[in-house]
Amino acid sequence: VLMTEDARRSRWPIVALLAGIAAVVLIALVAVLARGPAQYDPGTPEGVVQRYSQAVIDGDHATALTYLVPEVAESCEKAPSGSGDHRMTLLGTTERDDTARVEVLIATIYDSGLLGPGEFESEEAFDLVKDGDSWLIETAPFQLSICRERF
Amino acid sequence: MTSAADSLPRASSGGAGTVIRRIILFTLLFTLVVIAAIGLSGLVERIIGANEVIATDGAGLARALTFTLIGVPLAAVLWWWQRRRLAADPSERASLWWALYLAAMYTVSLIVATSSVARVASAGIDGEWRPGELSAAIVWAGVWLWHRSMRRSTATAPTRLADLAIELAALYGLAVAASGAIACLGALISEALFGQQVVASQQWLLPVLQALVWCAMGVLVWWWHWFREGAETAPGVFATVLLVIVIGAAAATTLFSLGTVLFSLLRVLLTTDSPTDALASLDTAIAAALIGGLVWVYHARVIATRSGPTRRAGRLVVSAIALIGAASGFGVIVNALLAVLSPTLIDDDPRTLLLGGVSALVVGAPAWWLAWRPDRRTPEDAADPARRVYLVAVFGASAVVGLVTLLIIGYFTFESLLDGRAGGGLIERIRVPLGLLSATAIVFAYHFAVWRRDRATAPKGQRRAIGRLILVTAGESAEQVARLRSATGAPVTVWTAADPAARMDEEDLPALLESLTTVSAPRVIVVARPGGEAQVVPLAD
Repeated sequence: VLMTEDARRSRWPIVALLAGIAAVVLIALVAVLARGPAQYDPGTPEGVVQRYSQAVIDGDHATALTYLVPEVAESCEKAPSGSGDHRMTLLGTTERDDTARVEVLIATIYDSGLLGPGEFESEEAFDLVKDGDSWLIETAPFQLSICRERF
Repeated sequence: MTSAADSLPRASSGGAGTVIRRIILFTLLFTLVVIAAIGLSGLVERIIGANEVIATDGAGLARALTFTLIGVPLAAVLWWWQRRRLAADPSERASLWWALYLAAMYTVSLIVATSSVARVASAGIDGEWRPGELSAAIVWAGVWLWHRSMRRSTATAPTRLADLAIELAALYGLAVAASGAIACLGALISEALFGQQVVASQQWLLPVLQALVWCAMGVLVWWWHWFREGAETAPGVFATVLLVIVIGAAAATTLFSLGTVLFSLLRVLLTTDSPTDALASLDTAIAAALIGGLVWVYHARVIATRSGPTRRAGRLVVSAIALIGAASGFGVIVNALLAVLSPTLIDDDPRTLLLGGVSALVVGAPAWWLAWRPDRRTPEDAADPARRVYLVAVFGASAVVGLVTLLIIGYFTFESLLDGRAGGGLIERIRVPLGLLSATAIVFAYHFAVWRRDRATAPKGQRRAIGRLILVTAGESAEQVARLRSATGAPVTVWTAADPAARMDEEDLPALLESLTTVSAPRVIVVARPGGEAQVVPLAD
């Protein structure tokens, strides 16, 4: 079948768009399926926050306690933990001599739908203090705290 | 409005005073009938439920008595008076307000009566006895029968929008039947798939039977109005619009449910989410896909027998819905890709998000391709006015989505820049609008290319020479109106002539069409003459 010049010219937009869509879908598939979670260095405030939060989400109370400052850890009265899914993105870290603040964006996911999850986002912060070479968490956002608040 | 409606006799259509009188009278009648029905059903409830009463309140009985003793006589007097007018003056029966009142009361009484019956039956299955619902069902069924007889009596039947009531009733029946069937099937599938609940307060069969009652009620209402009352073959624009809406809703339900089914299965296979969580919505999705598909296929067969523009409108609606699904899916995929780029400390499984987008795209894109057929183009397609409306609607929707997403992206970008904290937080916050924006950009680019090509390939000289045609004639003229409209492409308004001899015959039409080809004016009056030949009067701007 001979394709006329006009028909060929009128066909290129859809071919180009289809190719672009296919490329994006492929890249997304590869990137999402191949990626392992990024691990931060345990010597940095971010690394401590990451390990602590993962332990809280996994329900590993004992491990989570080891990342807290001793004053908090010793008098910790266990709080009931929620079972929601969380997604936590690093916004930034401010390090001073012996304190640090890790700012994060916590999305609480309550429903996985076809066109994206239903979620609630809030900006929170962890406060850490330096203990020798390592960092310990002094306060954690309420979504990820394991100790009951005392008044 | 429709040509059939426009060609109806409208003798003393009266002025604003008549219209206001009708609005007030029919609103009053509607209110009085509702009040009377509430009062009567309160009294009937006290009769049939007398054995059940443990404690009575004076207030309820007082209200029922008041509503009955005031509502019933006043409604009767008003109706008696209105009925005389309807019988005496044909313009009353042709009035829009009479048609609207009848359609509204017919549909409302049908809805209240059938839903009360269904509630009595579902409660009965559960072993409960609901005299209140039963009395409402009895009284409102009476109201329905009364209005049904008004619609059918030669003295009171509306001559305008005559089929509006049965079209609405058929739509209601279809909606109830479909949702009842989905609930029933969903409960069955859920029981088959996940059998044992940890704790169950009622037998699984109960909700299935209750949904079945609703479904049966809906099927009965739909069947009665669609086949017996003739909503299937009802003429007019409104029936066509309803048909297209039903097809759109059925297509949306089916495609969304198919996407959800695919998403659930992919989640079980490819993610770490717990199977119970992943399959939670599978039962309803399978049921909705099956029932939605059934409704869709049936109405697609109905619309296949209709005129060309109607068929094209149905295809365009399906294409629009599939396009929304596919584009949203692509937006979610971009969103998932961006989620990988942001520095996450802890993550829910990003594959869940990606698989949702992939499912929507995989279902939406082929459906869009089949409905829109980008590979098949004809000059007639390119000149189709419905297709132009579709393209403009796509541009409008793209513009709205583009504007909103750009505003959100702009806000977070500036916030991040002014905070001096660019990076991870920014991507995390703008990935949803950025995904939508990229999908919208693709949709816009494609349809813009189509629009330009349509303009190039559409047959030239499609501009209408006549903006509107006003036909002054006596007698039945629906056929002539249709031919005039298809020949000139202009909407046709019919003004009925008082002289019954002033009419055209079929053999006069070709000469008229011939003389119209040379006319170019925003409005043209065609006056039928007793001799047969028509006079053509082009009006100035």
